[in-house]
Amino acid sequence: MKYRKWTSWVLLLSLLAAISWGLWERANRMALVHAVEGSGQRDFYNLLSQVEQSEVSLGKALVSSSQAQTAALLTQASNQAAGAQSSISQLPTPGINLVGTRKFLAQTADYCQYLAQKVARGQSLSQEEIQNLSRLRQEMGKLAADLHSIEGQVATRAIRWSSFYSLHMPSLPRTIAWLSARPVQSTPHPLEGFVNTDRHLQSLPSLNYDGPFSDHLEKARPWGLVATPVDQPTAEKNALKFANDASGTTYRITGVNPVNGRIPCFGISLVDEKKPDRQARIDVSRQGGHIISFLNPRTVGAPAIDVKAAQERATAFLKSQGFPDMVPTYTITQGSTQIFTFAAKQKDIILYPDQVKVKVALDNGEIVGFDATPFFMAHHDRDLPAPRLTAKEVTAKVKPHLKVEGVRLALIPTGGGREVLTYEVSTKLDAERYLIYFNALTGEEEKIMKIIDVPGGQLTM
Amino acid sequence: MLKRWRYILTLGLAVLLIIGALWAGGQIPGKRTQPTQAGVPTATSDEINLLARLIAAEAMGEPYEGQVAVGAVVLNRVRSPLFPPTISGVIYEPWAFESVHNGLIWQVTDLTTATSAAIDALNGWDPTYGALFFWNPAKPVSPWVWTRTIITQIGNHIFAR
Repeated sequence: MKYRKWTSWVLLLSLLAAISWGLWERANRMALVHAVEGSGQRDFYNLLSQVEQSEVSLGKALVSSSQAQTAALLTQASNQAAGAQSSISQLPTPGINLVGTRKFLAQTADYCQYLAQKVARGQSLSQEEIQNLSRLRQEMGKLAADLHSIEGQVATRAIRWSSFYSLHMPSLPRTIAWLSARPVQSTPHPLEGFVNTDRHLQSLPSLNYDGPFSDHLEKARPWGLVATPVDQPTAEKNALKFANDASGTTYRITGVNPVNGRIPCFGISLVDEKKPDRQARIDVSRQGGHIISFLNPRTVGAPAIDVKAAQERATAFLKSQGFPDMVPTYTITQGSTQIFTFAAKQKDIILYPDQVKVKVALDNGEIVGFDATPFFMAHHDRDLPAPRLTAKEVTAKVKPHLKVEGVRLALIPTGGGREVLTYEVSTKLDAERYLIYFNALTGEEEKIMKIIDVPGGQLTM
Repeated sequence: MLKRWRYILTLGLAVLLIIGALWAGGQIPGKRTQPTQAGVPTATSDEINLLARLIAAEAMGEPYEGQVAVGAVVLNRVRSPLFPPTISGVIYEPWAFESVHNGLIWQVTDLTTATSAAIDALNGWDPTYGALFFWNPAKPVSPWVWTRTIITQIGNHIFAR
């Protein structure tokens, strides 16, 4: 009898302990659920209000008759659309991909930014641009209305963001529970409203302009490849020659994979014949058999050569690989390697779009990395116009509190893939260095880059 | 004799329950290791660390170019209108990466190789030439990903646009 009494006490105590632990865990879980629910609600209402405000700003921009006001309103519409895009991409919508809505918001932001800059330069909007703008405004209004109807579900908690994070039951008990008779997709998805809106936004006509999200850029094709296609043995031969030159060793091919990206390539894996733990990767274009990229991830020891010697090595290597006149522009130390960015040159004009990166190991001067993707995407024979302004006329435009340190002609890419001939003016504001680019034909300021000095090189931002 | 055995059994069960509760209550949160700075050069930016952490968690055991490729996918997303415009926005987008969802990203400790891969990706190397998605075909994935244009396979990952 005594034992039984003990037993019941112990059992009771452990039951109480288990229950209180369970309650504690539940309280914890609820705190997290509320936090998650709150962040989902915040993203949704941010999205809704930014879309509404963006529609209003677009409308105002369409009716404004002042250039300055139009530019300001377009910038506002752009920021609001970009904010909406940020909010929608952080909204938990599992299993559905709102690609149409996201792209619509990002593209509207980008297009408004492009138009704002155009207006700010004193140009007026074309008939087509006004039409595009009012079409975007209409779509923004439709999106706002759709989000409003979803808002009803959100407010009544028919959509609960936190519920999407719950763990799913393992498949076996779930099948038993559902008796496998109920088809999985029978109930309407709680996010059905988003899906319908998105389907519509996916079918919008394309928008072409000078900005990074313009539709014409999706079809960008490489300019710099020789037209004739090469077969795999030729590609392998080119790859081995390049890699052996770069590393000063002999490689063996271990595998070839097709790569069907912007530049279709043979992706070739290599291994050092003498040191089987050293592997490298090289991509050779199917068209022309050019070396597009090379990476040798070996561990690099303590630096034994300086940056100047490394630069000479990189320049000589590019020359030996048959590249035209290339000049080093920026360089940066990364660990025990030095990365040089080279740009092509045509009659004293730096061609920034035609870029090649070379990575040199500072322990023995070996080339451990090479990337010519930008070069082969952009390089072609260009018929460059003669500048209409002189360097002197351009430097006169620089604000007087800046110190001008040098001027040279440079071809720069715009966000939308256009190329502009400019004067690159290096200036100093106190101790900080800025590059200012002036259009060589119109004198318009096109772009500003800030140079940030880091140990062993510079970054541009 | 039988009663004594029952007593011992019950006590054992209770002890087990309490130990279990203590373990579950105390040990699980303790398993969430703090992010370490192991292998990250101090002079590098915060973005390298963030990217390296994701690469280490997503592409552990993959060939080096496969690790650079995962970093490149993040950066291609940053530049795409379909995704958030920042590295942290892309990495922490809900369900975008399995390792963020299951917490593996906070448990990786060896970031040496992943850091070099992140740096190469940030410097422009992209073995996928513009991929926006990658997945391991041996694991269950959303059927939607197979509608994308496949670019290449590196190691165990398929890369697509």
